Amino acid sequence: MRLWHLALPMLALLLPAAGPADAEPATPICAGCHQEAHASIASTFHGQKNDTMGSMCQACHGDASAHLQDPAKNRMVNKFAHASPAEKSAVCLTCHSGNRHLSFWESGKHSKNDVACTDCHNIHDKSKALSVSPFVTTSRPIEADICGNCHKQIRNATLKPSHHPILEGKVKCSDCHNPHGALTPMMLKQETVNQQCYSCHADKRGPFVHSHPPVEENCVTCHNPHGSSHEKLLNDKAPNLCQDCHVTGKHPTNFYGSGQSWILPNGAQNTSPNTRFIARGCLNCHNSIHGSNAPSSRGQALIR
Amino acid sequence: MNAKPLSLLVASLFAAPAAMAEEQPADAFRVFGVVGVGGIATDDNAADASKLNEYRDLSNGVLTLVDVKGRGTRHWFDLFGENLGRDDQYVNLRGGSYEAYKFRLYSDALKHNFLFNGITPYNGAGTDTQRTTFPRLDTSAWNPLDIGYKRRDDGVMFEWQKAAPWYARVEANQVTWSGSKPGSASQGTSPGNGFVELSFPVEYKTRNAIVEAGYNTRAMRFDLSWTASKFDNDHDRLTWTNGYFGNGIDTTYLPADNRYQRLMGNAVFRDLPMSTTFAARFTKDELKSAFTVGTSVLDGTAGQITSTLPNMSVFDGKVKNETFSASASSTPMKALDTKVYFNYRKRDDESSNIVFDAPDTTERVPFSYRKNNYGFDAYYRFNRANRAGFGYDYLDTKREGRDDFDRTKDKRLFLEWKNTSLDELAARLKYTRLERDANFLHANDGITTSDPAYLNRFVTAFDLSNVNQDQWKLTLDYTPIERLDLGLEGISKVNRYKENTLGRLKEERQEVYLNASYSLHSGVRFTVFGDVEEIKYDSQHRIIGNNALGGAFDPDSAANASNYNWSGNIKDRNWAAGIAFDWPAMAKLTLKASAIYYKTDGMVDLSLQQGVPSSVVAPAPIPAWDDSKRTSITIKGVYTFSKTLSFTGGYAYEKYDYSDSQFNGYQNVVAGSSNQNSYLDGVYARPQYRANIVFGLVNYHF
Repeated sequence: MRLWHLALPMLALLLPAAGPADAEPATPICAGCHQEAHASIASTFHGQKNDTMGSMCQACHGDASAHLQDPAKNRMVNKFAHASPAEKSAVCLTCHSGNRHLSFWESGKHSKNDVACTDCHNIHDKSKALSVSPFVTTSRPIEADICGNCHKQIRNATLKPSHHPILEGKVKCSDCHNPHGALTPMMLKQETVNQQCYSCHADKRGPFVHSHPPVEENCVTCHNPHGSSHEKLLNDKAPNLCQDCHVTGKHPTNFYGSGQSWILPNGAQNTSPNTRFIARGCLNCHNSIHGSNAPSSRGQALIR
Repeated sequence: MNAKPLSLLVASLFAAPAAMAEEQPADAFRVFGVVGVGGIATDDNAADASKLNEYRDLSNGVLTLVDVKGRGTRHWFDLFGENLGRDDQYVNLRGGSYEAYKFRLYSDALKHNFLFNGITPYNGAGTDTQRTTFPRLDTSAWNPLDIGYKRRDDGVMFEWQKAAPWYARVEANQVTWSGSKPGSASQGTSPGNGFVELSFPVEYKTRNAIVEAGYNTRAMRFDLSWTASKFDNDHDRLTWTNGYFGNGIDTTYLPADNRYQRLMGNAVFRDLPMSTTFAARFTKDELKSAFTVGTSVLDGTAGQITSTLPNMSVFDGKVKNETFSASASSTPMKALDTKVYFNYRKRDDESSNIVFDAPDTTERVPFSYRKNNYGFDAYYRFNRANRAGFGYDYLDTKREGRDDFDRTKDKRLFLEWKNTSLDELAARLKYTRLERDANFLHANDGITTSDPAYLNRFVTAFDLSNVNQDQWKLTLDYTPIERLDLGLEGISKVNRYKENTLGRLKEERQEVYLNASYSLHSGVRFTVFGDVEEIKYDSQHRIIGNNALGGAFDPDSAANASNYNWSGNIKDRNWAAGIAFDWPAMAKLTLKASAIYYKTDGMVDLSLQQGVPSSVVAPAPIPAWDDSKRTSITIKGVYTFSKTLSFTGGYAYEKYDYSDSQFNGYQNVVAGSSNQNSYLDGVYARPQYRANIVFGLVNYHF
């Protein structure tokens, strides 16, 4: 917990004792009629930057001079109601285009697919979206619920028996993807799929004395990072997954069916179940599937 | 986490405004939020509750919540903490001064559980020294075993913005893993020699640091960053008793320490002609791992040791990567958006060329590649309601280190149509076609069908073999009446490995997702969803029992009792349905509920080549292939006593059923002759559970 020794000094940076105090946040003139809208942002970064003339309100909603002169006659046009996604985003990008995380917005899939800032962000409404989830011990909003509004099947995959702890609040979509745009395909934050996986799973980086080339080239050859019905996020189970590449004879090419499992098809206990099929199949022996530092054939066969 | 720093933290938050009030008559820095304390109790009937607690800490105990914010016109902070002192603790402090700096401190913990109430014949399970004396067929004398590790990520970030448009940023974090994870090892060098399940020690530490500096304006951005990452493993080897090899001490090699460094540069230029934004990135990285190689192996049923005769004592692993990406997004004419892009990736494996001369000669094969990828996307808006898209992507990969394929060319094209002609309805249809051409290095192996090398012509790994893929995706969003939203997403993807004879021949995936959400004026909200998915894999394989028979190595030859093909057809079906509602039942009471049912159903059909004589025992299909059913029901209420006091409480029910042919009828020992017994510890075998969870928090708002 040594990092937490930094917490108090960090907080001390916030105390304006040594400098000008924070000024009283201004109540914009807009709040006279639009109290609810003002209240919804008063405590936010946008609200704190506002002034009595409602400059922050006008930055998004447009010039209100005429409206202030005669509110009933000169009604404001809601720029977000019928605008195109690009027009909506342009409002936010007026101030935020220089933000670091929006550097690749134009290069990303979202900007090309009519996704507007307001599809994910709403500075006025902070209520949590209604989502269907199992019981979790976190009370933080789950990012996947927002992304899942469009990426429905991906959100559904997080419910599968084998999954990253996304709904549990320990992994977010934005841990791997940059929703604001990226140069890497699939808007991954890192430059390749493998580098993305290694950013958390550093034990898989290697390099190993004996490697497994499909592993080194692309983790998603075998795994589905969003969720799977098979353990370890595997697309399929051993032995089937392994046999789809390893077909050169000997025991890899034997068929392994329920005649080799613990219980025979007739319901009787099998007195000699096949160790190449039961439990984890091929991985019972070839456990070092991502690469091995074992010497000689022990390592080459990934059995140590 | 030590509670003392946290209590000081919270105290200082409350002290700061008071201190300011003494100095300034109008204290505008407001601190507000909520703190809560309560508890959770769980009752379950699981033989192995690790699946129930896979990533959650549901143990009986105290729950806590801290969500405090500070806001001023110049400074701000957010402090969030939950489950303090529990395995899934999370604390996050963010703050800063607008347009001057911002920072973040966080600590995020989880426990990944794999096995509760397992058993093992080993003493020292979970450590790097696991010993016993085999045979140990009496499992009643085995030792108890739990497998799981704690993972904690502690990090800090600081970004200096006061010199805008220049900025500087540092990030650092440390991820520690402590505990054990499931593992196993064969006992001999033949699959008939049995295997043992082991619990591998996990004492990892990964330290990462990133330093970045850049220049950032609306029109232009460039930055340079350096990343360093160090992975340390306290145990690079695990030694264990091998019962087949005369109770000798065998060694499994665990991930070695590694060091990674990366230099990255980015540049973005906006407002170029034709509304073009040009973006580019380069990276150059190096990964190193030095490891003292094993000089002997356990190699005989009397516990004999055989030297491995490596040509070097230390393996110097080194892999270098370079990437370059560029894209230009433009609006060359009204209603037309385009993007052209290029990606280059190079991997060079410069690790030691290590050779072992005993017990057999093995040589490390380095794996390197070059990938050139380029393409374009174009979207044309015919009118406000209709937009068409078209794109082409080409990926050329050259590889060294794979003996089957050295080059693949992937060509991908997509067509898309989006329609929003009705205010209430948005539809999108997308078709993607992939064609891969692979240069197969064994297409002409072998001279005759009796030559073992002849079989190589038909061994084509699916990850790189020729393939045609057709993918359709349809999305519909419909709002027929106010506050009612309907959604549909359908996908169909088919991969045809057109020239494969052995291995994967075809895979298909179809999925349909439907959802509906409705909200009433009273504030009641409903949402319901349903999903059906089917995934299929078809493959073909060959059994060669008699090399001497003609056509033994030709899958196209007629079947006989010794040499024949067999097919596998795997089908995974998944169903999901769920409903949630949110109901402000009374002025002070809000009720929320969620129910989910998720079912997975897998099966494997196995069949023999036509013409196989009846003397050959046909394979039995596998009826249960990761079959599961999960029912989750959660009901929660929030009662607001006053502006400062509320109570959140609820109940959750979960039931998980599991059936799989690899685990049904599970036993901890598979007896074999001549010490070829296999010993299993129970991991993944009994994940079924039923649980009742009650929880509550009293929250103070200020």
